[in-house]
Amino acid sequence: MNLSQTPKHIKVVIKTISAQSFLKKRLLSLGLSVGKEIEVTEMSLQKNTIKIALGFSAIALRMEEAQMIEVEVVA
Amino acid sequence: MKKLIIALVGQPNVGKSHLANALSGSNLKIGNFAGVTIEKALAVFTKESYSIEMIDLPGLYSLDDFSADEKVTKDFLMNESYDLILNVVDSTNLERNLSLSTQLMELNKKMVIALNMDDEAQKEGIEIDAEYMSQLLGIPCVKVSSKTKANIDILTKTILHISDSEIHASKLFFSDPIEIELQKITTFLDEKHFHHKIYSNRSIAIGLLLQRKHIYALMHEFPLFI
Repeated sequence: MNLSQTPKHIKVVIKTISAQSFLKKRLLSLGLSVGKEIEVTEMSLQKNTIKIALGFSAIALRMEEAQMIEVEVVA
Repeated sequence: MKKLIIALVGQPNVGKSHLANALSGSNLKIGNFAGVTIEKALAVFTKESYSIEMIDLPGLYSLDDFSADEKVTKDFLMNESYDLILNVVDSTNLERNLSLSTQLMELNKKMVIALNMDDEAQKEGIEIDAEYMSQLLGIPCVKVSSKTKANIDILTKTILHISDSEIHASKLFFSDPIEIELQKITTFLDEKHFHHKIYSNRSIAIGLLLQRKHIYALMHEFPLFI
């Protein structure tokens, strides 16, 4: 499952990030890396932007970026 | 009176401007959202026998040139002269903030880390062992709160103390495979008797491995034959 398919308010763990190096670095510096626990908290009406919670911060992502992030539900 | 230039660096919305105000009594514009400071701001004040110039730079997530305001900060850090980096970090988001700190450690400048928003962190139940962290990084870390003004005096004293003492080599270590390659490059440069007046051979090796453009440009100017 990738992050764009993740329902709201379900805790997931990042498995892989399949972005090009520039975007990958950017996501990393925002705190998104493999093994991090995140949760989708909001989704825009047209479903092209999502808001995710990571620790004490919130990050907004485009749907295309969310599709690059492969996640797994926390058991 | 000795002059001291301090660069305030940190990720967006960690309280750099607020901390500058708390330290210097200046009145820089602040707000609780990212991107309030969009150009360099300057606060000047005197402490003990020092005339201190504090440069408040726009926040940035990393030194990778993502946006125009991030470039302002990076260009300043690479090209201008200053005595010390005051790295402001958000105590409630330490892990993300420290990724920038590691990049700053590559710059080989005197550095002090201000663990800001300590009051918030305590409220959230986060207790940071600043002393242990200082030992690990080889950089003094001071817990402060620009809101409650807690430990602001200690931070000022630490900054003055560091500016008086010699610069220490950074304690930045990578995972084993990278360290091995760094060692190879460093040894090669040493064997060629290569010396640069700003960068150590180790930091050049790091720059080459991490594909930093400015290091590539720099090395391009020197003929080194294998």
